[in-house]
Amino acid sequence: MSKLRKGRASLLERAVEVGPRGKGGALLIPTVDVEAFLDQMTEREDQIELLQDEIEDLGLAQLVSKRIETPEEDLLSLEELAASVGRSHLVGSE
Amino acid sequence: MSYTVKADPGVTDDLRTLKAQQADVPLDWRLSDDEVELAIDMAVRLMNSLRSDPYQGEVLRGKERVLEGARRLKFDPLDPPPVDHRGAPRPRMRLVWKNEPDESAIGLVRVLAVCHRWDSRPYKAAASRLADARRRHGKEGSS
Repeated sequence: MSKLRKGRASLLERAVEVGPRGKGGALLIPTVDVEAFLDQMTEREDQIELLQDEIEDLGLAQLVSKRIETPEEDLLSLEELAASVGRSHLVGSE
Repeated sequence: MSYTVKADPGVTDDLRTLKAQQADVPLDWRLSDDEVELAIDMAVRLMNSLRSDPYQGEVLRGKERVLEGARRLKFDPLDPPPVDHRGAPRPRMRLVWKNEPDESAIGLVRVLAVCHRWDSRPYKAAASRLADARRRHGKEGSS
């Protein structure tokens, strides 16, 4: 396995099952295949993060589209908002 | 200079339901009960700080038109915030507001939302669509 230079896309393609008395229970996987697999994982995580950012903006847009139309007279002052969540002591002059 | 900051009534709901919302959040994004209380403290403090500086955070320039011109500030009750798989900070909360009528002449700072960055609604909608498709597929298969 140490002679292998190029990782495969599949982690298990070249894996060999080993274990005491030929009963298996463990896998021997070429290091290059493990490295290739970890690279793929990082790539997937990056893609997922990008998609999560997109989803975040979509959800936000949905929420904001209703609220942006609220008439100004219906908005709460900071003092009213803070009081509604028991945080009046946190609002003061900046 | 002090700016007028007002919040949408929905922001009260955002803060009051923050604890209950955590049930839908994956474990690695979830806020503990103590963190929820700290997050509410931070949100109120940040809104108060908009009175002197409404230019904080980043201007949203996404594909969603309704968000254009709004500002977002990511924050987290933990300092430092949790990190992502690359080790980069990943604050879990966001404060969203809009400077009206525009950034160069602010008459009102409208706070639009304080929410967790994990939004489970699109996932639930997708899961529901998937379940519908499976049901339809099952019916077609049995007919």
